[in-house]
Amino acid sequence: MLGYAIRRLLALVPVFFVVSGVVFLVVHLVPGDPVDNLIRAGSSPEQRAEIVARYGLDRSLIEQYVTWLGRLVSGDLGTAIVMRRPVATLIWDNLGYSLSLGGLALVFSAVAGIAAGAVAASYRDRWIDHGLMGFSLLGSTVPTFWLGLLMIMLFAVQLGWVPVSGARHWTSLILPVLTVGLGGTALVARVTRIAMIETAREDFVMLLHAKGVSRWNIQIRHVLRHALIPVVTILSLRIGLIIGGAVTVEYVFARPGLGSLLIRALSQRDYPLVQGCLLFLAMAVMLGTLLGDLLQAAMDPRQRDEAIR
Amino acid sequence: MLLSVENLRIGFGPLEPLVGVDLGVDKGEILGLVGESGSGKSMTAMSVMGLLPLMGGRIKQGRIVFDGTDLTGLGEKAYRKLRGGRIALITQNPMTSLDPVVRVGRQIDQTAELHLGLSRKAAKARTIELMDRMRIPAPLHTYELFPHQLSGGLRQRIVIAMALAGDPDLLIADEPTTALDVTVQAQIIQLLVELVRDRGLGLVLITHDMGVIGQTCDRVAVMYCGRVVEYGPVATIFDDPRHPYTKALISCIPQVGMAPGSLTGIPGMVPSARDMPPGCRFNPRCDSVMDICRAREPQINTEAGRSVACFLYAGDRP
Amino acid sequence: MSRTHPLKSLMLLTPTPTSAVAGFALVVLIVLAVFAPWISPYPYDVQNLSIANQAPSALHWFGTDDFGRDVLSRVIFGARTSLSVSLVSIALSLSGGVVIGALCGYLGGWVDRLGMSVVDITWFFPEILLALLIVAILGPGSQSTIIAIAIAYLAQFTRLTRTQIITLKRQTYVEASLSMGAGPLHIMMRRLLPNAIAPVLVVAMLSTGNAILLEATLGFFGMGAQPPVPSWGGMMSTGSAQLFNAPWVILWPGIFVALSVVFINLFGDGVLRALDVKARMRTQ
Repeated sequence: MLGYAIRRLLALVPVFFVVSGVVFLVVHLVPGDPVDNLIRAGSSPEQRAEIVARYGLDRSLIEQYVTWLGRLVSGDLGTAIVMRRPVATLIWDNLGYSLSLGGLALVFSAVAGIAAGAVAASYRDRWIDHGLMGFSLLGSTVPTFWLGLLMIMLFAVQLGWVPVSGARHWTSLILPVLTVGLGGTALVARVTRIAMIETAREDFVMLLHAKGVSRWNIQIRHVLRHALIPVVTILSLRIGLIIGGAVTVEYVFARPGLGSLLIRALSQRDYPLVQGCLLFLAMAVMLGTLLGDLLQAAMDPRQRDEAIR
Repeated sequence: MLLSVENLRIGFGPLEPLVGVDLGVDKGEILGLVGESGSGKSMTAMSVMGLLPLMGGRIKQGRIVFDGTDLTGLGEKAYRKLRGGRIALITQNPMTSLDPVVRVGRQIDQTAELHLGLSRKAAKARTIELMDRMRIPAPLHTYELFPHQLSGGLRQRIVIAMALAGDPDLLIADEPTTALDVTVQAQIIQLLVELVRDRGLGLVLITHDMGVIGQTCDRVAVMYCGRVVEYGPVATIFDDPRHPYTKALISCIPQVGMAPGSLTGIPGMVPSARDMPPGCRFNPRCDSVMDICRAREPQINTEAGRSVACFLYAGDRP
Repeated sequence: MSRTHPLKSLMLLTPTPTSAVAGFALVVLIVLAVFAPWISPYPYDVQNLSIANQAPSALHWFGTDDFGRDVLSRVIFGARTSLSVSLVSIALSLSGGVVIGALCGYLGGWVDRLGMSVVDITWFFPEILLALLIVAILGPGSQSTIIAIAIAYLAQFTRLTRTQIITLKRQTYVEASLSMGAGPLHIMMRRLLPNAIAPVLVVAMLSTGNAILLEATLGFFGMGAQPPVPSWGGMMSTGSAQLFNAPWVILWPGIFVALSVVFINLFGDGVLRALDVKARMRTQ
């Protein structure tokens, strides 16, 4: 198991180089002189020269990339143009908010989705199955931000139960988590349901019945456990979706976080900040996928050995 | 009689996979249940195990008497106590019969814990012993393995050990060797025979291999299209087969020293459930078919400990 | 090959009543979008501040927005924007993906590795971020949105086509063709692509739903079609300022987005099932 984990971690290294390369190129892909993208408009020639020297803009792309990487490793992600603070600090300040939102939303999606899917599978084709699946279809077809707006309208304003925006109190997390979580719930519920129905048809389930194990026991301890494997696969593949959803939700609910930071940076053309946020978000996706793979291998012993061959 | 199935008729929606099955097996006896695919052998096993409702079927008529109790009227809770405990099933395909994410040792433990109320430690000890008895090499090491790490033959031994863990009186082995290599097949059959002789279990051995029946079983029930067409002691039936189907099956067994090109088959195909021929279901393929065979179904005629359902042997000709 | 009546073929594609209804609803939507100027009750850009933020009424079925514009008309024209952008971007993504995927799958070797590495880069960025980034680079507008969405979905079409081609390549009928002297282009066009294309087309259909969502989100961030051209996302963005006193402004575009996606998914699922049934019938 440990060997598998190390192998997967090492496999991420080339990926990191590719991703960071792309992020690095952003500044050069944007139309215009890269210098203008890295500095405020109306800067003096000395300031421009300083930027050229700092980022090595007069040297080859490869050299620039290496320099950039080097500073990355030492924790220097550049300075935000508009907010005039180190990008690294800005990211650090906002990371916690995004992590709590994303993490809680993931947990919510997983728990609610698995429960819904398991119930739907156990009462297959009855009204509760159709109801749950219909509801979950809704969850995956509405735009996340629209759902967020609706939530605000309904819960915060009409009913006045929770705060509308900001992040001062822990209750402000409830609506955003629900909004992001519901989208993921739909997917998890669908996959769990199908996986459980298909697993229940397998031969080993028949033998479990023949052994005299109770139906409840079989469903939960054996079928669900087995069905969770594809669920973890899907969740880890769709980490990007959840992170993306979190980004828009942060904006709608005016919550601090990497998402709102990125969107602000994009609209202000603050490219050092854009790069920093993008890099972090991409790394989050990579790590999330890795965790998903590891979890899967922990749950399905067949995967561990297959990777060796 | 340990197990006695009387006039069993089951239904799956509009279909009737079994239309009148009579057979029995006693302690220390091996009953061979033989027939082509679709004859209803597995259905009979499922019916005895009480697993029909799980598959969407139901018992329409007849009795299944196990050690004095009629199982057809048994509630699910009571049935569950029997299943795996006093009646155990050995399934066909060892590749897919075991839970892929649970270690094989634990799967055997489960039966003992459930039916004998053993603690985890005690169950493990018993499992190791059982694995040893099944001649599974290095039981302590194998205990920790997962099914995909074992060969087919070993997996089937695990399945057998799992069946024995509950200390059953009756074993039903549904084509236990079909999915295995020829060399392994003989070992598994041997193992099963020893179990019956040593422990005094009753064994229903379901197979399509007439040769195995001849070598190992005490009694044989030949099934065709949901009916038992011939039933009786193996020695008698093999010596003097009566039903044309039985005769054909026996003649299909390859013998040492046969002339090349003399291996025969049975002409025709097993009819599908929706296309049953009128009268005796075997009549399209029978070489001794008579007019009456196409008109009516033959009754079972029992005498001197053997039964046959064929108009050739009907006691009172119409 | 027998010729089936076109109407019959259409009916074969909708095995369940749900998918038939969904298909019909989609047709209605497309009609709305195409004939928008004739169907919508008012032009989408006529402002009348005296009737701003009015609740739905007989004159304005969906109410009016902050500038007194009729919401229903804007929703209908928004359908035009959203549907056309999604369709074009998916078509673009599909064509690009099929070409690259087919080349990679058929040629293999370093072409395959290079092509897939480049395409896989998009895998690591969440859709919305990738799209936002591309639009940020290219500048806002419908064109950029189309390119952004096309790139976001390129990877999945490429991978799917490639897998299909690789599996089919190994089949014996390809070997037979090769041995009869057929050139690689001929094999690709006549033998491989027609068989590989079916599942890719179904995925394309289902992706259109996601594309609509993505387009709406981009529009919400002001990156989509620029005013005064209405888009569902843009309407929700400007409407969010009046969230509390004129909720219908964001409600209706959102409902239409959701409905479009639902109908596409239901219809697409129906097609999937129909194709699956046909494939099984063919092999029997």
